[in-house]
This record gives sequence, structure tokens and C-alpha cells, in this order.
Amino acid sequence: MININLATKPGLQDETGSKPAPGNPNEIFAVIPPTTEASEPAIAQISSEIQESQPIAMPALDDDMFASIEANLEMMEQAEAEEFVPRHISLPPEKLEEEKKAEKIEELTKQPGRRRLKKVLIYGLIVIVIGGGSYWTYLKYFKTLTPTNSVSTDFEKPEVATEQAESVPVQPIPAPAEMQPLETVQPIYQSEINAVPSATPVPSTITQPQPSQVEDVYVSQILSGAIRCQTLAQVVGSLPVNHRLQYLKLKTDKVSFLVYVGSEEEAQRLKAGIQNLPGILSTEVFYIERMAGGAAPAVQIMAILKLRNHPSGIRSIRFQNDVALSQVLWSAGKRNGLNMQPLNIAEPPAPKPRLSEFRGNGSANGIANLLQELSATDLNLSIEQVSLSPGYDQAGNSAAIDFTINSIIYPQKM
Amino acid sequence: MLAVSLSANFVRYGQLVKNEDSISIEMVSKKPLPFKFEPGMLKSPELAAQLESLFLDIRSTLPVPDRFLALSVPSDWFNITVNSIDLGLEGDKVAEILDWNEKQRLGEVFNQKFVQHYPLTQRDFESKRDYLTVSYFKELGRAINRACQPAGFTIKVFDLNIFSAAAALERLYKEKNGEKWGVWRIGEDRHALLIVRGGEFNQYIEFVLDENSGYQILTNSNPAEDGEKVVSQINDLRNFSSEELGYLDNLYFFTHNVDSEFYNMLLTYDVANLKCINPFEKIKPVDLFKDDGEGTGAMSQFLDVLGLLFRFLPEVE
Repeated sequence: MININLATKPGLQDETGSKPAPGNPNEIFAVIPPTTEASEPAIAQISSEIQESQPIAMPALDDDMFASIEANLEMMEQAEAEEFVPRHISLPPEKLEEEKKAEKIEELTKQPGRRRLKKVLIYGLIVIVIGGGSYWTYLKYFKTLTPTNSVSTDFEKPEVATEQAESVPVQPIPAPAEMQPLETVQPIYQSEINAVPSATPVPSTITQPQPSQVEDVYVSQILSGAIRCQTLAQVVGSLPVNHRLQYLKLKTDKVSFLVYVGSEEEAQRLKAGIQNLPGILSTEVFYIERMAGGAAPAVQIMAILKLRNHPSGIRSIRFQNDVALSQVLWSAGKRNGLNMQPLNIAEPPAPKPRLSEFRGNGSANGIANLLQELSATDLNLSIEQVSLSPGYDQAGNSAAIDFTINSIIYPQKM
Repeated sequence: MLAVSLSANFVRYGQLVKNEDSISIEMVSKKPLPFKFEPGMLKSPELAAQLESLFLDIRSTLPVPDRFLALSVPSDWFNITVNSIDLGLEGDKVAEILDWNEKQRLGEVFNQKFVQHYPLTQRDFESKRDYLTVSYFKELGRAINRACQPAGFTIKVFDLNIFSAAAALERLYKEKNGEKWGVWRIGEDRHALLIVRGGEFNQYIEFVLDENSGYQILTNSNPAEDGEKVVSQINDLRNFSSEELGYLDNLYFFTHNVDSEFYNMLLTYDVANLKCINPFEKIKPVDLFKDDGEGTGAMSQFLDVLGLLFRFLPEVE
């Protein structure tokens, strides 16, 4: 970039910019007196990683630099001399062919047993490769997790995973931060609301913990999502009735929001209430400011809250296929008076975690209740990101809030 | 070599010292100013005396006596514009046109100003070349010169602090900054934004963010460019959640007022390409000012000081 130097001549500057004349370094730079050098030999504490690390060689050291290159060359020559280099002695081509033929004949006549063993090994290898390929194809394209028409929609009778099925390697969980907008989406359409099961959790009458139907590595992710969701539900639920929400976002372990409330007292009450929520680890930012001349509610709250993210205890997670999951979400939304759009899933069913997203619209209370329900369900879905913004419902009510919930759907344990 | 950066309420400075065949950043420090350094002060007859007292004070704290000074001051002391000139004109003619343009713009105060023009990228497809014109009141230069003499300092470089900060970022990150990037100095009420494109100065904007969620552009060096859209996005950050800023690959922000609430709020934002950096993350001065803390938020205030120091530190390939 251009180097401005207003201490030089006025008018049009050179093409090279007004760089300071380097001059003699001994004149420009203050020099540490010799006594200081003796007492403090290691004054530069500069990391060796950075290019500008001190001590920085001065241009006057060019001779030394060349000397070091020469020294390196000598070292390289020495290293080459000491290195073991296999020597190949060439024979005339005819002689070489004769020797090879003789060796082959000798090998074929002397070791018939080894030859047979080799053949058997090769056949065995071919069988293993073909078999493995067929099994993989079966897993990927033919083995459906559960037929759609036979999905158990009764939450109290969880499906039993096939024990005989071989376990598949666990796929890495996509990081929430890397979530991309869903491009290949598969909307799952719902059936009638009355035919849809409730999303209430497994009753507490079950005393024997059931084994999770998803891999253990996913369970902690699902439980973390549930805790985030529960805390978010409490935050949304504690907003005063007359609030105006500008945005609210849950991402990784932080909730940030900007809302307007009627008075500073209300804002302080909200602050106290939120800070005492068990799921809040710390309040990073909580600004309360009355906006001059703004329309009511005129007290702005801008907050960033850090959430506790460590699940306590183990819950049994049940597997539901995509259609069943979609029905659960849709019915939970409808029960809470929300307008819901179909669940969008990024990929077709596969034995790996998949991104999904569902959107909707409704009141803050309805959204809080939905989040509360989602946090209580033990399904193979983790809530990763939630975004709320001002919206309009079907009746044109501007008090409605649009929501987008990004989640990850986990596969059945094999 | 002593690098001194003046802001409205503080002076920050750092010293390069030669030790045998190496150069080190011997110290980086900061002091509150006993006066408010702002353009209105130019009318004050005390300006030179106050600067002189300041320079003598700094000199008395230096670990090694020094003679040469690189100085940067806030960009709101300067007029910054970009002018396009047709290619093929002689240098004298170009200078004459640029001076004439500046005279038209400044009016009768032109004669009181020190004016420089810096050639920018040649736009062959339009047969034009842009020139950056920077001007400031000669009175400021005279005051600084008068103040330096009793302290025994000679000015080697006189720069604008946002340009020094940009120079530091360019040296620290080079191509990692991206094709188009910016540096935003957060002021108490007045903000400055400098945009660099293709390694070249692109646009300079001064703006204010008002209390009614709006913004106002005070100075725009080059209205044809899209820097105002960046300002609009900066303004939106106050009211809307944003994942990433558009129009720029990276936007770095720093301030000379580390107690600014707005600045501290921005530090908590999670916007992918909005960054605040610690210029001393990998280059450790021997003695570094830490009274404001050691985090990025505190250290970024020295970005322009490092930019000045870099002008005298040889770049090692």
C-alpha cells in the first residue's frame, strides 16, 4: 500500500511513494550502549515464528549471508558423501534376459507348493473384495432403516434396534458452525394432526433405562442440544409481554439478542431473571439503553449470554425415521399454535448425521413452549442453532415472530 | 527511531533500537495528553509549546536517547480526496491539474495548506490514473517542527494514523487480508474507514453513527466506490445480527479509546470477517505497556505505532 510521508516535499510524489530515506542505520537508530549489552545480553524476546522476529539481519550483513549459504553447500556435499546410495551394476541386455529366464525356470521347477499357495491367496483376496463391495452396496442402497408404512408412532413403544446388524464406523458430527444453507432439501409432508403422536417424553414409570438407539458418541451431542434448547426456551419465555424483538440467535454456546422493552425497570427485571437461569454460565454483554425519540417500547437491551453446555446424566435416545421425526415436530408446533413449514433434510437417509432445518412463525410464548417440548424429547435430533426475527403471521399480525431451527438428525445404531 | 502516534486524548509511542547487527522494538508505551489534541486546537497559540512539553516528556522516558521521529496524527486533521487524471500528461501538467482541483475544493484556505498528491493504480482500460491528494494546514507542520527542536528530534516520517494502521496490517497479514479489505478506527463520536483494494488505497470515509440507528457520511474521498455500503453494514451491526460483512474480505477495527462501550461491545460480536487483532501477538517488544490489559482489545490501540515502526524495520524474506 501507499506509504504516505507528509514530511517530504509538497506536490506530486514519486511513483514509489514517499518512503523515508533509509540512510545509514547507525545514524537513524538509537544504539544501545555497550554497557547495556554486557548486562542484558538477551533483550529481544521475539517469537521465532514471525518473519519480523528480532534480531533482524541488517542489509550490511550480505557477506555473512553468502558465507552461510556456502557453509550449507559444504554440509550438503558432506551429507551426500555419507549417504548410502545403492549401486546398480548394469549387464548387457542379452546377458540380463538370459539370467532372468534362468531364474524364472528355476523358481517354477523348484517351488510348485508356493505357487499353489499364491493362487489360493489371490482367489481369497478376490472373494473378500467382491463380498465387501456387495455388503457395502447392500448397506448403502438396499437396507432401509425402517419401512415408512410400518413406523411406530407410539412413543411409549420404542423400536428395537436389530442386534445382529454389524456396527458401522461412526461418522464425524458436522460442526454447527459449519452449517451451510440447505441446498438439496427433501421436504417431508405431514399427515393430519390428529393422527400424529405427542412429542411428550417417555413417562417416568419406565424404571429400567433402555439402551440408546443411536451411537453413544451422538447421545452427548443430542443432550447438549436439549440443554441449550431448554435454556433458550426459558430466555424466550421470560421476555415481557409488551416486548419488541429485533433478533435472537442461539449459536454454539451463546445466545445473543436485541429486544426493546417498555421501561428500564422491566429491563432490569429481565436481566436479573435471565442471569439466575441455571443454564446461563455467564453474561458477556447486557446493555440497557433508553433510545431517545424512539417509538415505544423504547428501552433497548442488547445481550450476549454464554450457556452451560455440559449434559448431566445419560438419557436413552430413541430412533425415529425422517417421516416420523417430521410428524413429531409438526405436531409439537401445531399444539403450540405455531405455523410450521415442512422439515427440510439435506440428504436422503444414510448411516451418518445429516443437517436439517425447520421454520415457522408464531407468538413468543408458542415458540418458548415448542423449544421446551423439543428439549424434553429423547429423539435422534439435536438442536444446534435457533434464530428468531420479527415476522408476520397469516393474519398479518406483526407481533408474530419467525423462527428457524437448524438441527442434526442422527442415524440408527447398527 | 521513535514512533509517536497522537490521538485526541493520548500519545502512544514505541522505539526501535539497534543492537550490534539487529534491531529490536525496545519499548511500546502510552501516556495521557494534558490537552485535547483535535483540529480546533490549531488556533491555539499554545499548540507548539504543549507539543514541545510532550516531546520532552517522552524523551525523558526513553531507555536509549533518540534523535529521529516518525509521527502519525488522527486523519481528521487532513483532507483526503481522490482525483482521476487522463493518462499521457507530463508530470508537471498532472501536478498543476491536481493543485487546481484542490484549490477549487479548498477555496481561499488552499494557500494555508500543505498539499501532496500520490499516484495510485493506473486504469489503462479507462485511460486514466487516480491520484490521492492529502492536505493539512501548514500551521500544524510548523507547530510540530517548533516542538521537535528543543527535544532534539528530527521528523523522518509524518503519517496519518489510519494509514499507519493499514500499513501494519498489510505487513502482518499480506495476502491473507484478501483482495479487498478495510481498517476501521472507532472514534468517540467520529469513525474513520480506509479501504484497500488489490494492495492499493481505494477509499477513505469518515462517518458518525447517530442515536436513531442511522449514520451520516462526513467525508468520502471517492464517492463512486462502494465504501458507503460498508458503513451501512457497520451501522446495521448495532441492530441486526450478522454472520458476515459483505463487500470486503476482511474488516479490521481498532480504537484509541479502549474504554469505549461500543468498541467493547464489538469485541464480543461473532462476525466472521470483522476482526480486531493484537499486533504484538508474534512480535514481542522488550517493554510493552500493559496497564490497559494484555488482550487483543487493549493491544490493538498500538496498531498504528507498529505501522510506523515497520517503515524502518527491514522486511525479511
